[in-house]
Amino acid sequence: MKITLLAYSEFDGSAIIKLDGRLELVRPPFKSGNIASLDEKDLRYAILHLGFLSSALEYDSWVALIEFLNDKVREAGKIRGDDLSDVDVLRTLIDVAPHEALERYLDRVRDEFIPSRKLDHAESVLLTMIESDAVRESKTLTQKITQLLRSVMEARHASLVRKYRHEDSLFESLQRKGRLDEAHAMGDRIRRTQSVFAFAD
Amino acid sequence: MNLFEVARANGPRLEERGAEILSSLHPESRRKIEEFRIWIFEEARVSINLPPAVLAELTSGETYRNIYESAAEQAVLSGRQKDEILRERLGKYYNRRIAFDMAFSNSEKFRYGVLNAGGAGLTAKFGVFCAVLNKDFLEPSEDMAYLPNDSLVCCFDELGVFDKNRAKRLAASNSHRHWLATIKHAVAVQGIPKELWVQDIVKDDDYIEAIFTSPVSLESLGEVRILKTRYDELWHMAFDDLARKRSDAEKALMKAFARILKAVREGRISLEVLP
Repeated sequence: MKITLLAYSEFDGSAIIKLDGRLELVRPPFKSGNIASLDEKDLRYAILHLGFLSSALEYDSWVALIEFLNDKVREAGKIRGDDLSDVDVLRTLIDVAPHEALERYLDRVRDEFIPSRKLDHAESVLLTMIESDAVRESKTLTQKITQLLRSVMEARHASLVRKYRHEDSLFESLQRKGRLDEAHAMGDRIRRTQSVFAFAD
Repeated sequence: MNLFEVARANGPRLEERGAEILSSLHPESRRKIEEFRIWIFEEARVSINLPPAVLAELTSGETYRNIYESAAEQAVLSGRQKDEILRERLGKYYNRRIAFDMAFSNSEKFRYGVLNAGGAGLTAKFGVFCAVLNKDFLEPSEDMAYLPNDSLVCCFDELGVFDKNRAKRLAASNSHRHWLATIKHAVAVQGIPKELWVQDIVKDDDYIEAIFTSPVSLESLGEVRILKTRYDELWHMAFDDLARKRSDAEKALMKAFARILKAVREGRISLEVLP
């Protein structure tokens, strides 16, 4: 497969490519449904009026092409001083998100992220949400987020308790079998050699 | 050569040609074309198509930059020559763009738009925003010219050589934009109902190009239009799964979209979502 990149936008990674003799527009989120057929006039219009940059680069895979487009957006964003960190993008979206979208996401945190122990992710989203002025204006949302943050803390605590119980049971098991010194020595060996494969010697 | 003076000088000739066409028509057709001419004069404005990031920049107080201004800015940042950057950016269109622009004075300030009497302009394929400039933006503007198609098409001969005389003959001033549209669309308009005129004025490969030099900022914009299909697509991308993992390109697009939504919410721009 040979993909020729004919033009691309540094603003958002939209690109006009030539594949099997056809001109196509690809754009984020770079899924197959986001490809549209174009012609030569569109290419001219994009370069002359939409700020697309002309190119003749060739790629042998979609992955390589999309990596290039993302790199170009990142570089251009850096020059413009645009922060593309996950948190900043999330914060910007939260500020303008409709309440239904925020509510829907909070339901996912409750029903999906907390039960599956994606606690760091859940906590980070909740904290970003609660920092938003738009969210703080809604009492319902603030209460829901506070409640979910509490649930995250409880889930984290429960998880720690489980971990300590597990460690305690391991300790008791080693002690019962008289292998505590052996385990201790193995720990020393791993530290000394800085390799977990030390236990295989 | 000053394009805008040329366009102004063409006024009487365009008016004469338009009147000739009108007088040659059957009274019923003449009445319809006359209605079209008045409709263009009263309704048509200039639109420019803006990628979300550029519109977002305008909402933050920046001004719209044409290719020369963008290249000059990049030259400062990179230390490269402006012309080298332009060549690289425009690729195979460099020669035509430069041939046209360099024939006219002050052309590094040229901004290109489209005469638009409704609809989302040429945005369907690229999913960009169509920013319609204020009516006030047009009225006092002396530096405004219109051509019956893309300047890089209608001002070049079959061999791709710039034809200065053709450009001189075709240009219309702001006060005669309705005559240019009448001459161009007289035949087509007779056969289509009024509600389809909007689509006939701006088609994918056929439109009336507007060239002007006034800077474009947020204050210059009347309304901003986008097709519903694209708006919904952006909306779903943004809010269906707020915190999902995104590529940098998607993040940049989403930030721009969010900034536009914020400007709409704060009343800084008026957004029209078209079916």
